[in-house]
Amino acid sequence: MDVYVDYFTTKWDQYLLYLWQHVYISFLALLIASAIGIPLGILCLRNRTINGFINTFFSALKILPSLVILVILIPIMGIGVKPALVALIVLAIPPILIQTTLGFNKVPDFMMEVAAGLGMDEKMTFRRVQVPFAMPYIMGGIKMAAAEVIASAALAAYIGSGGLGVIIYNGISLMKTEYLVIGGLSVAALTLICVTLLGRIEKKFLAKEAI
Amino acid sequence: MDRFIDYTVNHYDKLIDAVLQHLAIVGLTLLISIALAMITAIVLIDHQKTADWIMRSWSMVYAIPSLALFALLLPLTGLGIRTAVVVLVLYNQYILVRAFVEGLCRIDPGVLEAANGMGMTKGQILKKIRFPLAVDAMAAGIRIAIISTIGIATIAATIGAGGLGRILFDGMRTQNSVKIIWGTVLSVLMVLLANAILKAIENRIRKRHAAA
Amino acid sequence: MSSIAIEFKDVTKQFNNASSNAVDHVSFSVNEGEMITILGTSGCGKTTLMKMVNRLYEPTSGEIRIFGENIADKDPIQLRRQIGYVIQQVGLFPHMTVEKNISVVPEILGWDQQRIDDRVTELLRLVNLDPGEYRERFPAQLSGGQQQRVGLARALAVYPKILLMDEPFGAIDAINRTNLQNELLSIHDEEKQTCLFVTHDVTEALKLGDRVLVMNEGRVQQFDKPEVLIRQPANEYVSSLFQSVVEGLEFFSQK
Repeated sequence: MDVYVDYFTTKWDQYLLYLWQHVYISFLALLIASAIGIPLGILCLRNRTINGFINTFFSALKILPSLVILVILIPIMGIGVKPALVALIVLAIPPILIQTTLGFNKVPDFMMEVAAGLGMDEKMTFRRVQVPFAMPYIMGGIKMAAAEVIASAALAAYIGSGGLGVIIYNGISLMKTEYLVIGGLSVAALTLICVTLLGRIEKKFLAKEAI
Repeated sequence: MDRFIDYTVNHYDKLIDAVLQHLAIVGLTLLISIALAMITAIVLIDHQKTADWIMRSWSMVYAIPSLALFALLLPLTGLGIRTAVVVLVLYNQYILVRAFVEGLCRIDPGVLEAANGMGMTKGQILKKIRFPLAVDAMAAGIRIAIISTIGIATIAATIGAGGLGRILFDGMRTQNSVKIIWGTVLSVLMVLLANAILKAIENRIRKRHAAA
Repeated sequence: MSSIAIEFKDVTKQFNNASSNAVDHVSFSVNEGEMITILGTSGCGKTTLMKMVNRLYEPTSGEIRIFGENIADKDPIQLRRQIGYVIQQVGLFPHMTVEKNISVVPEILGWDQQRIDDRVTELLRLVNLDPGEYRERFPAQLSGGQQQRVGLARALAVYPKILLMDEPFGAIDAINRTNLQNELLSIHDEEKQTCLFVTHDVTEALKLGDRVLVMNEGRVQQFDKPEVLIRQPANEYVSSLFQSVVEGLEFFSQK
């Protein structure tokens, strides 16, 4: 027990640094992945061929081990935060993209008919009808991506991007139980908090369009 | 390029070892996972509320990042394959228990009522009705579990379990492109092959089932 | 002098948290070989009543005897294997052929394969399905009426002395329903099982039943031959049941 108190009293600022690195890289990756994934997802709706191509590509990407994605960039970009960020973005895009397309596909046809009947143009229908409907799915995709990103960011410590994974990494090599526990619990807690928060937002969107 | 050929020729046994180790971890994990999940699912038939609660618990475990769970279990079960298998089995419970329970419980109530009314015991209903009707869902679940296990097993290399992850991590640490390439190629191949084979098996099972 | 096949002695069924009894102090007896239709509106307790015979529901109080034996003393699984049970949704096992469906209980009882095969052929002929054509079919390939015939065949597989049928033709269209009713009557003439047939259709109840048991709110309103029910309804409820039929017929006769 004292070991833990010890850690937090002596290494508090180090811990905060790792925490900040982890949160920062995860958040950034999610942001960029959303900026890419959501528009791509919408593009998939408009064009059948692109849809097919993108779907097969990202479905294949999804089953690859995340470690592979992290490591494969090393010969090209070396180690450090940049390749880690790129890898995290690549890992985050599939769930966001797939859920975006899914969400827009799930808009019931009769709603589109009603909108047309009311005289709404394409832009309005998109903004007022389709987007609200797809939002819970998009949020769901972001939630899934967040879990994936936070988990992979822990791994990314191994390629020099910092973050809470460093604590775990050190715990394993130095055989220090307290590092393992603190690192492990921190990552686990961070994931659970983010997933719960995003889940709440998802539910709020869901409630809004419950007819 | 020479470096590549050089390494491959001299160390292909290490590569083969890694592949075999990886397959061994996946195989062992799967045997235990399926047995555990099957027992759980059978016990949970007709106990919807407990089933919901158990599913929620496993989903929380599943949400924990693998490196974190490996780290947390290390003090308890030590370095090496043991911890790896324990963690992998735990993750698989979320996937398998859900697939098995859905398969075994999603039966037309009319069918169950007729079976009960005819005087079939719970065991006979399980064997002759629930199981055959659940095979599709169970096969799909097992496929997803296998793919997931192959992926997460790569991370087990961090705690000394060997496997393909070892090659990837070694390559990463020493910035050795050859190892990175081999590690990547082998992992990707294993996943894609496994997926293709399992999907084919699944389709074969589904066809044999589709009555007409 | 036929024996008493089924006897209800002051049977009551109350479900948990229910304000009233689903079946309320019901007593009656059924002779061997009789076809009894149980008639009433939804929620009157008729299905609950029937399901106590094969112990899918257990009575809260009272006794039920089959051929003199108290069914509470018997093992419920064994009991059910001796009673045929047909339900509205039929419940054919979708992954088994017609043949396999019918063979389920004989297989459990350990009949040898030849005996089973012969019985399947016999039963399919009995329900007017050509054995050669229908044996290997799957339920999904059958129409509603055909499925129900297979359901009946399955229920008769091991020569039950008692047959329970819960609104079996409820989901079948009118024309096929009439055919099935007629076929059931001729099967009954041949095989002479004791049969309890639950329905909410008044004409069906009158047509099929040797005697009709009318129920309302868990209690027996009247239990007698169809002619007696029509000419001497015991109370308003019973007569109101026929009122709807009479009105329908009047409409016809005017046209």
